[in-house]
Amino acid sequence: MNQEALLRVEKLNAFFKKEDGKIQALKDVSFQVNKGELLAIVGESGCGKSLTSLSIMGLTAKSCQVEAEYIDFQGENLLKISPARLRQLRGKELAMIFQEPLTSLNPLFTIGFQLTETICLHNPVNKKQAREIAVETLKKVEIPRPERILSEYPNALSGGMRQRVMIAMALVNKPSLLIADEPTTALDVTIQAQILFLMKHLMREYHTSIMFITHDLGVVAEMADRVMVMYAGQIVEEANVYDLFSRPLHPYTQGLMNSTIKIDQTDDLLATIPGTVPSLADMPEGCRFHPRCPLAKDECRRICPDLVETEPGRKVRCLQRGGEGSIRFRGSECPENMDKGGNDNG
Amino acid sequence: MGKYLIKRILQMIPVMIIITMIIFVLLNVAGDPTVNLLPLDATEAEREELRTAMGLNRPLPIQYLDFLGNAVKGDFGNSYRFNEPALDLALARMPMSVQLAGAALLFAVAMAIPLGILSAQFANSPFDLVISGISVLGRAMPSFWVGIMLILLFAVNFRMFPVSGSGTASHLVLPALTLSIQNAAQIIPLIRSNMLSIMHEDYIRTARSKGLREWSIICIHAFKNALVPVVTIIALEIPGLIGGALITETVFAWPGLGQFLIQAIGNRDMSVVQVCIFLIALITLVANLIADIVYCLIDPRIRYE
Repeated sequence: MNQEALLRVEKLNAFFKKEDGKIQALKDVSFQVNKGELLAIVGESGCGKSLTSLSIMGLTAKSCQVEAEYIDFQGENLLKISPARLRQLRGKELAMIFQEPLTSLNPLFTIGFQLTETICLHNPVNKKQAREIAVETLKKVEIPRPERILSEYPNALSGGMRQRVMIAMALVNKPSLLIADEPTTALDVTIQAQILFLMKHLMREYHTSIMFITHDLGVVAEMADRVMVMYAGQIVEEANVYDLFSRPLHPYTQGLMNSTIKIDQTDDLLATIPGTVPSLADMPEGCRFHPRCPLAKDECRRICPDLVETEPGRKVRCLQRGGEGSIRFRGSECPENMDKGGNDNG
Repeated sequence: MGKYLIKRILQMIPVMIIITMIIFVLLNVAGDPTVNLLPLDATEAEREELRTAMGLNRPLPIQYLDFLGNAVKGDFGNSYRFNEPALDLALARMPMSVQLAGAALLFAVAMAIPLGILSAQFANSPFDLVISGISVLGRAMPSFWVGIMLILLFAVNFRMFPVSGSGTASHLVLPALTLSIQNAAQIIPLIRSNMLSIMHEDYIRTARSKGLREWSIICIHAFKNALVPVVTIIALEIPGLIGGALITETVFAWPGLGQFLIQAIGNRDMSVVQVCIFLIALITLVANLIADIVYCLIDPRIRYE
């Protein structure tokens, strides 16, 4: 794999202004996306994964304040460049796909209008050429009868078709980086598999790097080269996909993996991580995961651990180093099942 | 769509019949037209004679059916006062009313759309507060007062426009402006609140992620979405502007349908009142039909079966 960085993010912090002060939603998020790589960002709802991607795109809400040492994209600091330059990059070099394909397409404009708009904006082409490019791209995302689809409105298409259109719209200008924010969450499973396959295929064809945001570990295993696990606005673990699945270090990652249903599971009870993600306004002292962590010791309640590189390409934010991968999470209501549930990753 | 249109037009017929019934009954309750038609010292026998001649002493249902039968043929009877066909008299006033209403709507939309968009864009800024204040004021001010103030300012002080009357384009400006202020004041907050909620929609974020300029996002992607409720308001306002602008028409001596209707009511000129109200009802129905068609053109999700 080519290790040349395409996007480097250093100490990204995001705050929401509220009447009674600021709430920090992202804390010192640093990572990089390499050329030709698919980086997956995993975490529960509200852990900051979408906010990270919106911060990179400069698409956060007005009430959100984004700070970072730099967000370096192909040698340009996205936080320092002019709004005009950022607009040039968006849609051309930096593209994004969103979770809900129905609401992400404008209901009152045809697919053709919405697609050719992006093409004409970033390329010196006329309407007719733009239409040809649009048809070509729709063929690439395997949409049948693309000429007809161009004159359709989004509500005439199925969910899977709409997401294909979104992908076509994002990839039409052959971007270097595609940010996909839970692109398959709103789709049913068979369509999901098709869309994932399509993205992977187009990624190779267009030499695009992808930052893939999801909460679905199955999708991560399927898609990712490298994985970043986020919890409560922080990165808690980063590793390549094989290492992460064979030996998750952070107790949270281990908990996530234990929470997925395995096909050979004989147990009726689904393992869970006890407790909930802490509210941004009320973060615990010390390690943010300690109230839910079976390994938590006194020091975890006091000291906020750093993200430490334990071996090349592998980082974890845990004072206990996840007990070197030995914790077991259990179904929270059924203590007698302790040793049956969730020891696959131990 | 064609089928739907035919259905809608057919549906208008029973509505119009019910409207004529209501008009007919109300006017018969309103009083005896012979009181105004004959001199004050006319005897009861003379009145009775006139009533017989006009067919007013027949039973009400017969009178109504007679009226309806003639109305279908386009004959609404003669004006008691002018002794000419009432329909022709009312239709002669229509062009003036349509002219005034058209100009007023044009002014209103031309003011309201940019102001509504700008106040949404700069929501809660001093500009927005001023515009919101003005639109509250615009709705609160009665049109006769606005009309008089405009006359004082632009006709008397600055001598830019004539005080009243009709005939040239400059006669049209002040009455149209008077009517448009109230309409604009209704449309501005509507556009503002629509735009504010639309700017948080996912498809606006998509448009931004494509690298579009903020203003083209506002004017193309957001504005079209804000338009449907505005069309509703405009459709509701049209009949009021054409037939119901009587106060403004009176202030500016504008010979429109509204003024004509008021005079006819004063004279108990029944056939004229009937035909005026009939026309206004028809305009209301047609305006609603047009609004429904425009919805379809704006929003492909709206489809009629």
